[in-house]
Amino acid sequence: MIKTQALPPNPSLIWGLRLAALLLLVALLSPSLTPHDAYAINLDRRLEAPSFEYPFGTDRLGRCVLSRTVLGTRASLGLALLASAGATVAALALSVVAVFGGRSGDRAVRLLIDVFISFPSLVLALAFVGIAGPSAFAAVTAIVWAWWPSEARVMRSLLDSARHRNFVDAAFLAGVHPVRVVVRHILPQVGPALAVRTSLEMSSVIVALSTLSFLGLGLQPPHPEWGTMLNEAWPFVGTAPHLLFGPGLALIASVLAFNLIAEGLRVRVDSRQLQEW
Amino acid sequence: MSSLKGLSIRHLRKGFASGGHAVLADVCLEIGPGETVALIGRSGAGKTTLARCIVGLEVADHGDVLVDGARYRPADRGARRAVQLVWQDPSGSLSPFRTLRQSVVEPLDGFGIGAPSTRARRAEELLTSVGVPFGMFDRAPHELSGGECQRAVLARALASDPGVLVLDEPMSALDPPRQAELSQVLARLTKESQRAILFISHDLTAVRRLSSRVALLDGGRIVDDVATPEFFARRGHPIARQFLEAWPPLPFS
Amino acid sequence: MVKPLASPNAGHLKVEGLTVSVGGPGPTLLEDVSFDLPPGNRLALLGTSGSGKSVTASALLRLLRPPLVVTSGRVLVDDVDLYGLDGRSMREHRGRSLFMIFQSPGTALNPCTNILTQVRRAAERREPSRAAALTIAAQALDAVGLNLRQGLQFPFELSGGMQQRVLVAMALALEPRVLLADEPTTGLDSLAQREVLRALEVMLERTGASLLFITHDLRAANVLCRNAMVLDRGRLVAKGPLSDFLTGQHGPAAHALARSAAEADR
Repeated sequence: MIKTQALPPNPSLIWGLRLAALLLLVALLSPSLTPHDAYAINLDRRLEAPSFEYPFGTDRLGRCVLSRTVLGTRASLGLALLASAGATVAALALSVVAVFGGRSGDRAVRLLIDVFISFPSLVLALAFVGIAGPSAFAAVTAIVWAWWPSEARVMRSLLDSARHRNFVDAAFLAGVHPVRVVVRHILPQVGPALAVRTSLEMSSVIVALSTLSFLGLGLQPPHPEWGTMLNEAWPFVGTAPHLLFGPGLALIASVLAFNLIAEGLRVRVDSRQLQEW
Repeated sequence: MSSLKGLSIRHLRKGFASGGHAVLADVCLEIGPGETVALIGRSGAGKTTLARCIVGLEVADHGDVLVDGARYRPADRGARRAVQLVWQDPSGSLSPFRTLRQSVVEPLDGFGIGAPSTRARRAEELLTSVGVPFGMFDRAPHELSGGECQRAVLARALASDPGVLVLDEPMSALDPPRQAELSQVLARLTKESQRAILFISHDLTAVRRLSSRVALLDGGRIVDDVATPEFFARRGHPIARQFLEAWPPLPFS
Repeated sequence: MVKPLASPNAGHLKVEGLTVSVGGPGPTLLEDVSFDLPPGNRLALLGTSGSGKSVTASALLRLLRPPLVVTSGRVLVDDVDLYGLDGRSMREHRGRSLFMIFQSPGTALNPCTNILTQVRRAAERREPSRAAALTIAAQALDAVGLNLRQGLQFPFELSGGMQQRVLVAMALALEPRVLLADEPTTGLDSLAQREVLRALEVMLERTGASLLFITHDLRAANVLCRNAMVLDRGRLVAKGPLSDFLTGQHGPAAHALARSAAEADR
């Protein structure tokens, strides 16, 4: 196969992947990792400051904030992943229609994108949840609904320029089946840029999901989710600021992880291109 | 002059998507088997558009392309065996994700030529026949010079044994030594095969060396179509003569 | 008031020991390149692809992108070392002392404005009065064979050869002391080539600028230049009149270039 030289060390990518792996591991194993029951209400121990027993303190219902943060990883990251995947798949499907569906296909998709993109994403998301009623499902769908246009716009132009390369035409002339052409020649071209884009998108989706939950429109209580926890912390921010640490740190860590991955991927893509130079 | 074999272009017309005058107005050209016809014309005259319409990468608005007497239908994947194209830009014509050998195997796989186990060997034969050294077979395009890439592109075009070969300025992206090398390979090709070859170029020395006729595309039409010696003796169309006169001389001899 | 276009304006370009490599310790693309282009003279820089011609051009204008870096050498224009200047002075020199015509004119031109405006803006670097600059621009376009109707068009509406001539018109308006032309005729048909070379001839005669003509096309080089240098894998290996290259007295690289151009003609 193609021999490539070794790439320079990439700390962003390495640490980003490590952090993301850690978070994913926490999400998977969370029930066993919680020191206390995340749902257990204990009205005697309300709003306690961090201590050895409760490292992140307790919330207004006496629940362990650390446990809730850990368990919340499942919801916050899981839903974000779902939403991100949904938006990516929708964007990819529509971009393929735009690029391979002839002039009418292209025009139709472009019109759709232009209409959607004129609304700020969060407003679209809010509108959807407003109609559907708050729930985890509504939040995820709202984000797919609001995020796919900007993704599609980028993907469409990536696919379009990938398609017009001479070697793609050559594959056509070589009698290769169109699906094979896409897989063999187009995806490898857009893959790297897409990966960078998707990781960046993950960070914004994580924040968006938490924002919806913060507004009370996502996963409903008592299920732990970082945005909801921030919402619950809000009235006590003066008296019990420790309530913000858990979910806040978790959010920061998640966004940091995916931003590092995105940056690392970008550096890697650029290095690869430089090699070819 | 209508030959049953070879390439026959009849009243081809292609306009811009946005309207305006047509790039190709009424193009008629016949190339018999074993003939190499050079196509010259100003840049932007539509030579590449014509090439793309012939091989089926673009659909003409009107007119026919006949290969060996039958209408060429590129929508039928198997039919594409008969007509192949060599582009101007060598590295852009080869997938950066595949080695030379893999790129040449692609049409063999695509058209189902020969048993699968023989295809790698066949690809090697093709690459050798155009002068690509053995050690280069497993390299990627970015590791090779333009000249070597271009030869690989030619090898790939020949893989399906096409009756019609369109060469769209295959040498203009190369420097003089590589041009000379490729010119030698093409000279052998034009003399030995029964293919109908359309050689688009503005390199008049290559035109003189490789083609038996010279056609001039201007204003969307073929306005001149003469034997090569006639062209170089300045007995062609006034515009063709202008092309010749504009060709600067060598510093020596 | 019309300012005449002609004014002797010959710059002296001298390159001493220019060495360029990829990153500090990386492979060397140019090695110890030295040459002298006296005022008003014309010199062709020939070489095969990969020889370092375009790197030379970028290096002369201090337009090398990282990781390419000049590890040693001087580039002197009228005895001023360009690599000793700060950013602002260098920008002044680009356009006044040195101007380059690129191989792909499409990317050098602004797609959003018509060409008359672009040439006028170039002229404004020398002539602050907008009206006078406009006149200079119109005259420059006329000198390269483009009429007013074409002047009002956008770059994408013009062919490659015409776009090149627009760049030559800009050069006419700027009156640089040294003109670098990097493969200006590559990829053009013979008629367009002739028009571009003619435009360059007009520009050089009117402004008196010195010319460094970078190309692999001996015929094109021969139209404007009598003398040439040959670059081979980053080193300057030959210097002399083009007409002598076939004799072999200027070394194997020059001989090979001449032979492949001549042989193809058989």
